[in-house]
Amino acid sequence: MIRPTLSCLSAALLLAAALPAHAAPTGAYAVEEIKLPKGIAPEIGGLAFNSKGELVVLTRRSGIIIGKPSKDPGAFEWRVFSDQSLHEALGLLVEKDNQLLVSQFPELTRITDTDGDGVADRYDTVCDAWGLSGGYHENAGNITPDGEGNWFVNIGTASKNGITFDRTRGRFSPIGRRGRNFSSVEYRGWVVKVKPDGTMIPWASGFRANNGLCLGPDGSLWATDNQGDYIPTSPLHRVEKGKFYGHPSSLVWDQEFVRDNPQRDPLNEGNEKLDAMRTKPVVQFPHGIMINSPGDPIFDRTKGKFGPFAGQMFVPDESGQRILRVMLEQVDGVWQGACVPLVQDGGLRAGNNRVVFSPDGTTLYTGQTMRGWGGPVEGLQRIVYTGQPQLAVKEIHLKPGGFDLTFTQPVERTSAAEIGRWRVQSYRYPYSQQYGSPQADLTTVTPQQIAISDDGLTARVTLGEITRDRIYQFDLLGLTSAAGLPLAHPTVAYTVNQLAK
Amino acid sequence: MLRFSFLALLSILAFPAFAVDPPKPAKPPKPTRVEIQVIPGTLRYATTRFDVKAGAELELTLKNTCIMPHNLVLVLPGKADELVVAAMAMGADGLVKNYVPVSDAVLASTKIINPGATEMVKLTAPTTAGEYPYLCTFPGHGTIMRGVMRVRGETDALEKSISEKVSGPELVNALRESGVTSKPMGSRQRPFVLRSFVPNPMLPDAVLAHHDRGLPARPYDVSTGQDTTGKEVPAIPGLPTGIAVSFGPDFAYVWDSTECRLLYAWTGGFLDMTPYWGGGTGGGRESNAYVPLLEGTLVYKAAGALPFRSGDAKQRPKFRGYRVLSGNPEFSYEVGDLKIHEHIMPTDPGSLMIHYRVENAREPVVLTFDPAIRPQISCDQGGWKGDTLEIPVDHSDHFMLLVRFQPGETFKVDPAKLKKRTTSQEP
Repeated sequence: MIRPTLSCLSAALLLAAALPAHAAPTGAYAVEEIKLPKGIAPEIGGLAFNSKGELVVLTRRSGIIIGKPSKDPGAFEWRVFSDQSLHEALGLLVEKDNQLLVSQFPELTRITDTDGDGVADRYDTVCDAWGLSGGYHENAGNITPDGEGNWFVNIGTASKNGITFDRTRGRFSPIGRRGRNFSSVEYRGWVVKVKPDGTMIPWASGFRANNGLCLGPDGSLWATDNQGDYIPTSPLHRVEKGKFYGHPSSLVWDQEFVRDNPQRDPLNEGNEKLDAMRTKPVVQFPHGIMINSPGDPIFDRTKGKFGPFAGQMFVPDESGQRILRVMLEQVDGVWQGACVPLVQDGGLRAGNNRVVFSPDGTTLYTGQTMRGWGGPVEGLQRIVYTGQPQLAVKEIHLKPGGFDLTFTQPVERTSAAEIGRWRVQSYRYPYSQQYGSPQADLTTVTPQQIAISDDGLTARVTLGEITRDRIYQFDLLGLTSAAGLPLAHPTVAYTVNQLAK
Repeated sequence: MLRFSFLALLSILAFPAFAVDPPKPAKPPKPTRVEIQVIPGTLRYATTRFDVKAGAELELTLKNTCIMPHNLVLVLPGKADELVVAAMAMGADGLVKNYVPVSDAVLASTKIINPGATEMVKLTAPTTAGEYPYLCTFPGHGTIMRGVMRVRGETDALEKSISEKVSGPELVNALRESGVTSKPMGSRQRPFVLRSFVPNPMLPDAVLAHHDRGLPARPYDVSTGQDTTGKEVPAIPGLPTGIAVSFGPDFAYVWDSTECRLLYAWTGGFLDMTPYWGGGTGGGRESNAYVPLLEGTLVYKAAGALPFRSGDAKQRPKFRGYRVLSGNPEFSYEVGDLKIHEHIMPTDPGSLMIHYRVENAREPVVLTFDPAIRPQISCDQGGWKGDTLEIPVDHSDHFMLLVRFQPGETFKVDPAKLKKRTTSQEP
């Protein structure tokens, strides 16, 4: 009678795709299905708008199509820009309306329509300086301009669930080949910078399945990574040149690391030493609670056109029917912050890989794909901000001994002040080579005091002692707005890297 | 374990002896059946309260309709918080033991079950009336993901469960609707260009001079962080940077962007991408065997070093990309000072043509062919000295090689080597 447990995510996602999702509790964001033309595998590797307001859709194996958006999500006018099957195309940048920069497994390619017939006729290799060993996981993606004419590109590691060929492009390192996810060829597990002339500069190391990269409003570089070996839970990093972000295999290609000993094996360094070497995440996304497989993040630059979260970061989830929202702040010079769902279920598929705002800012397009990594959850959807009111945690700030939470709507002050409605836990994710980490040292924290501001928009939560290097997870039970709206997403998780003075 | 099997075996063997005239068992009362689903992605059971008679036989089913793994642990009144703490304290052990702590407070529990799975547990409801909480003890879930089983006394009425319907908008299976196939094919009029991992039909080492060797590795145990003594993980034959072009069932070739040369050509089909893209419209990848399958018969296989000799032969030629002429790429690359453009076309009968344009030639362009393939090759320009072709500078911007097909070998991956189609768990 006990049915066998499905042991792989593919089955899970297949099911998730087939299952009707639970309707979202509010109508602030509406999910719509964008129909792609027949014959195009809707496995979205990149999304961008050109200057004409057309949506450029890069697919992983069915070329590039360009669509004229319409109000009716099923009525886009599509044209084919390239019918070539690129090799796992996962990065897209519109340089001109007739010229795209695309990343695929082996290289960065400039794809141009030179004769103006609307179809690409040149595929110029801009950079192929990284290695490729046959891993299905050896992503090259997320082309992010650095603002000075160069581009950052994510170079992912290979997984033990894939192949290593007996012939590799680029130098093969038997030491780099060791491990769960590995870096047997050059710059796997790095963020690299590519100059317009194609020169590649290794920028930062320690990544595993880095599938998200974007530039912040202040020009800083942000990267997400996926939970797994040496990545206790999926992180968000602020990437700086020369720093190491935790997954050791990439270090075999670090000239500093191997300077005195070319045979130095990063996996033999020991977890304690590696832990001390790494730059810790700005935000940790609690696995199984917030997000399991972060995709390409985006900052909300819509100035309010997409709702009340202007300036915040959104992170799509590949293995969940959700887009996450990240609230960042600097405390005593240290970046940290919290995450909370932005949209969850309500018709949203999983597989969320790439997101882009419509030119008018009212709509977030989400391109989905999981094919070959997990079970297929493929497609293109868009999330439209309806303007309907929603009660959500708008911001959260660490204060000495507690947190200030602000809300998008005034909360019902009496009930919101009840301590019993504030479930707070704190825990941490220890660093090790294990595939993900369980929460450690979980403690329930009983708030000492909840003070709601007169306007009902801010709650000051006094917790007493707060400890660094821990996550504080709030589960706000039964909070409602003064107008009776339920709190849309009651779980918020804040990563404390630095205490407030 | 052995002892258990032995006993089990004994009981089966022994059964007939007692079954000759079995007493008719009294029909057991029908058990109370309760199914609990999960609101996808929300850390909430869809049923948060149900009633049951004291002492009733209960079949409690957890149907994981969520996108995360969950369990269901039924505990004594007031013990839920205690269980959350105890589950957490299990640490790395937890997952193996389904995050169910050994505790007298646990009345029944399921395993941690994955999305889509169902598990039923049988139990006898407590005889003491009261509110018995159930919760998911997966880390981070336990404080919110809860419900309560109310055990009602003999005289109490059973009230309706508090349940939310797990329903919402239908999700479209866009991949299935796309009608794409994992067996692409071009035509003479519209060649199809496919960049992919490609098969290596046992090309000679000299052809792949600018690749490095991928080596087998020791299996690695992520839980200990050590290599293990198990069977080596092999390095598999395959090429990482192929560009395959199909002109229909009667001609296809693979050009390689690392070696910058035509590697092989074949007739009778193209690449079956099913191992890499999945069957039908796509889906699962062959776990450790996703090199596409070459369908047809090889008619040309490169041999020897790159024909162009300029600069340092060890230096990898620089691949510059391609432009598309009538749907067919003209590849560009640099060898030493030479900028070479080559355009490969099928010609009838039974041959292919390579149109070359070489820029920057200051002296005659020399192409040296391996003796094994030299008899297949002729040129409309220049002169031959043995296996070496010399193209005068003034013809270097336009000359054609004709490559006659060699009735070739079929190249098939041994189906026995293909593992069962599975996909990895992590993206």
